[in-house]
Amino acid sequence: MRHFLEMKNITKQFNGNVVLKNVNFFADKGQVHAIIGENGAGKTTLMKILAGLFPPDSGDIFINGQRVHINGPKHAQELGIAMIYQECRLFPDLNVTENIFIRREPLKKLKFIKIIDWAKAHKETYKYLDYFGLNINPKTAVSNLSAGQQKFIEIIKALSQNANIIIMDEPTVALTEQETELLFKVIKDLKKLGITVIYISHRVEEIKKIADLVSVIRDGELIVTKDINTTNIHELIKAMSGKEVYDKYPKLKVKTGKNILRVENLSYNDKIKNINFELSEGEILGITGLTDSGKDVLARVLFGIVGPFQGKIYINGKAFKSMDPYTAKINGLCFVSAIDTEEGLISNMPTNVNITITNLQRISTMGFIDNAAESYHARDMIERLEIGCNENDIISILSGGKKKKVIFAKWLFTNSKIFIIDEPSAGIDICSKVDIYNIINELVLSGTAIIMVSSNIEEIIGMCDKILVMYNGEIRKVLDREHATEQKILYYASGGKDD
Amino acid sequence: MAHQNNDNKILKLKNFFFQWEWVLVLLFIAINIINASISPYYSNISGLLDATMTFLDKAFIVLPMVFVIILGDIDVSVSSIVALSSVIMAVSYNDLHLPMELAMILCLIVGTLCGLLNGLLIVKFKELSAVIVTVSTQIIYRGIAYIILKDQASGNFPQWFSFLGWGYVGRIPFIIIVFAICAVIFSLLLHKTTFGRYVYAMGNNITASRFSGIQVDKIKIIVFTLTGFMSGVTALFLTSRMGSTRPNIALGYELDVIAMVVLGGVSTSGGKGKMIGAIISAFLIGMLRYGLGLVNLPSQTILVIIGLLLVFSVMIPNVRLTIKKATKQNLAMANDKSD
Amino acid sequence: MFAIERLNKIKEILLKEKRVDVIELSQLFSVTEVTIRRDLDKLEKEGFAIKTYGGAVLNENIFQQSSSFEYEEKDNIEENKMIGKIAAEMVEDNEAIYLSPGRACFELTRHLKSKNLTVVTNDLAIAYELKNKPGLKVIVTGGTLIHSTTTLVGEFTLQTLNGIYINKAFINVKGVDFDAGYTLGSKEEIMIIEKIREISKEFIIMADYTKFNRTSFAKLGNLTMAKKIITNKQVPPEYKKFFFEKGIKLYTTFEFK
Repeated sequence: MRHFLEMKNITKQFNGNVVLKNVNFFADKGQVHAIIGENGAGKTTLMKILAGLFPPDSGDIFINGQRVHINGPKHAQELGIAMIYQECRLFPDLNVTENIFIRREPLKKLKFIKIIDWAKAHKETYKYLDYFGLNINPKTAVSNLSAGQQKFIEIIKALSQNANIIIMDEPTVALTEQETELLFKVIKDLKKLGITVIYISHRVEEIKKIADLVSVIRDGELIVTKDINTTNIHELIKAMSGKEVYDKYPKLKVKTGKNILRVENLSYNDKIKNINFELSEGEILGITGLTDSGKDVLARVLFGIVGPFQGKIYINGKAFKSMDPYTAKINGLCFVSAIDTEEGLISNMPTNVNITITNLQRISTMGFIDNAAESYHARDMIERLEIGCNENDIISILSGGKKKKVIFAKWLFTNSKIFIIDEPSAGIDICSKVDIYNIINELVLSGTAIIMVSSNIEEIIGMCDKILVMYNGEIRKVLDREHATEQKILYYASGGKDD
Repeated sequence: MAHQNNDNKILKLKNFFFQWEWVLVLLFIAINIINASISPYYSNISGLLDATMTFLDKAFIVLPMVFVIILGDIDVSVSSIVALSSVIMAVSYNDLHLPMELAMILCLIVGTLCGLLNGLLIVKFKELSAVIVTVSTQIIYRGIAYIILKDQASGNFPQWFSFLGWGYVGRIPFIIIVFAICAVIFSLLLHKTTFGRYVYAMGNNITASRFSGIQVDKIKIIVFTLTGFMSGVTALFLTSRMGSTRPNIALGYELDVIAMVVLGGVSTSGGKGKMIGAIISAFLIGMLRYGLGLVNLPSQTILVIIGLLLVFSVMIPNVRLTIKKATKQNLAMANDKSD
Repeated sequence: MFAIERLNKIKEILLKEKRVDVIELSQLFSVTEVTIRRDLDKLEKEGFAIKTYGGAVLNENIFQQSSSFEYEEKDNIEENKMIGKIAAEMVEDNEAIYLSPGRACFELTRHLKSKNLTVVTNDLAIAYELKNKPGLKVIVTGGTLIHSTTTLVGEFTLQTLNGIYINKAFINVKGVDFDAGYTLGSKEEIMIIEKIREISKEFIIMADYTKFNRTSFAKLGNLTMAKKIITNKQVPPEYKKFFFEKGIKLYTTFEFK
């Protein structure tokens, strides 16, 4: 039997890294086929190939039994393939109708000139909105719509371009629960229209609700395609994680000291809800979750970057009802940023300036900076952390690993007692990784408490004493090091609950 | 090793001479030579010193404006702050009959408060840029000055008050001495203190500065307050020179000041620049104006010339960057080959 | 800079240079000479230094008093101290551990905090070092003393090890190399360690960074034979990469305080 859409033996490499290996994927009309897999498993790459963003290195694509060579996004669109990306691709200042009909507005003849027939366009738009039961005025600017409503407009835009295969990449990421429900209703309507929907998601829970078929991709390989009714969440998660976690992390278990940080009913803007946890000296607390789980927001609320919050933060027993980075710093907190952000370092200033900036008092008298003391301390830190750079080196020329170490250095320079470490090992070489883990060891040895915010589940299990798994702004589950497995974490992170 | 040290020294020397400030110095000398050649009155020392008195009043604002622009912000309300503090000083002396000393202190306080208000507004309403906030307060401050004094002048200051603008200590004008002291203080503040370091850090990367626990709001408020205070100082000297004040006093000063700072090599995108550059360029523009005035060029033409100079100064760093990149590439290629 | 840091820095300089100068120190730390003199007073009270005119010298006695035994790798005292500190953290209460002859194990004994331990060793220096530790059971194997060292080897040693069980064995090695693997000084020592490997649950290698890319006389085994290895931050990067990719926990020492 031939399927409506077939992708056969698709292989793709980027700079020698094999991203997809002989993937076979199919879908039929009026069917929702979900693709799940961890970050970087290759699911988005597979769909970008279908959407014509780049060609496969080898393999064939058949639509309706016909072999096609998709040579660009425009060609894909002509073939009836539309992709709805995670981030909104509409023009925020144009209204709904303008967005849907952009570059193919209906025209009417008015004596000598042709003008756009907006009345007709609005009517057409309204028809679509009505079909899906959406209460949106076609004349509103897109920027006034919620993230969910924008998703619907993108779907309608795709439909109006006669798409019969619609790919949705993590469509529910920024959506509220009601909007998610509405989206599922819209997807069911699309099925009735005979549209093929390919649904990429991390969230195993919601796939159960909406998909007919589900395929699991891991490390560039399509592991299994299953009928949703013959599988269960545990089986899918097992297929997603698959490989055994190597216990290669140099974890050092030290005796924990007294309680140093306590968080009570912490909430912020619906992005994190009712967070409670405690942290002791010498303890490493892991916080993990999917991209929008609220783990990043939680870290930033703790350090006072975003606010105001509800609830209380206790540092060394002292209660705080509000927080800003300066207060956080002088109370012993620090934030070791991820290196791919602007947050951690001033990239066009030299290394020594970046190291000492957190505690200029230490190298100054009466407000005057002592340059000799600055060099001395910077060199000392560079040596202690084995950074391997010159104190005058501009940050932007340093490698990722060195940058991360400089960020550690700047917070060691203030003698912080609580380290919030954002993505400890993302984007750095293996040697620096090993160094970072051992730096963390040395920190806990001296009684420092660590909060490790990471999406790398292996590393979280490898290094942390206690793990908070977040989903939708809430702590879904607290796991001990002994009981944590990659499968369990994935289960709770994708919305699973204790039965 | 010794070889490398030598190379480093040469590099340092090179870096020292390849600075924007040297271009300014050369320009300054050129302008003086041209001035001297066209006007016979120009070339004696006391004449030169007198010439500086004509523009030094606004140079006081250049000093804090360097901080503002290094922060990546801008303050266009300074001329209105000068007007408001000057008018309040005049009114409190002439109409409220306060002692002149008190009126002068009041002048400085008003300037400081205006700057503080700018700072608070900018910090409080983060969605508004500094230029929007200060354009608004620019209108408000001068508006208040008009309300207070209507469209009149107010003078009749005590005789000794004119010493500020016209007086000499020995053979050196008083204003030059005060400016020199201020210039030293502000240079030290920017280049030697923790405060200056914070300003540079914030200008380069405000996000990282926040994440480093720098009190970014506090620093910003202080910088704008300082600007207000120095505008008050300018008001004192300017009013003294003029002998009386009007609500439209110091009109357009903000553009001159900003021009001086930008020509001085302070990047409007923030984070870069030196105090000395701005000070040299203050003298440069001042002398240029003075010289062009000597040859009776109409003031509109002078504006055009200063405008061209500005365009030139904004362009030059880009050209330099391109050259730098090109030489770097050449060097890298040469290194590759030697490996 | 805080007083404690300064004290530690002065200690470091003392250890390295054996003597310090008040004026130099006050310039180095940008503090007054009075402050430095006060610091030196403290160090003298601790028994770490002896004050002299214009400075102080290291009190070498404290090191000699603590042990009358010498190891050949005395150059890397600091590195091995830190390795010992990390290793001591791995020891848990109620365990039986084995300490092999060598500086790192010797340093480990100074950091032992765990309770109710049994320590098995064939090194006389280590046994001697532990003589005053409360709550410790020390078992010294018998055997033949290798000349001019404190190491016991031979048939008697192997016999003592029969029938005992060890939770964690800490092994000092003399060479770590991709091709040669872990190496030790003599065939006799290898025999002891091989026996230890049979009777112990966890096998932990210790080697300061100077031991890498070096080969000693006899081969103990391949680099993958142990699941944990403790060394210093200066270890060559290719080893860091190798161990991580092979799933071996590589502990390195960093010194902050």
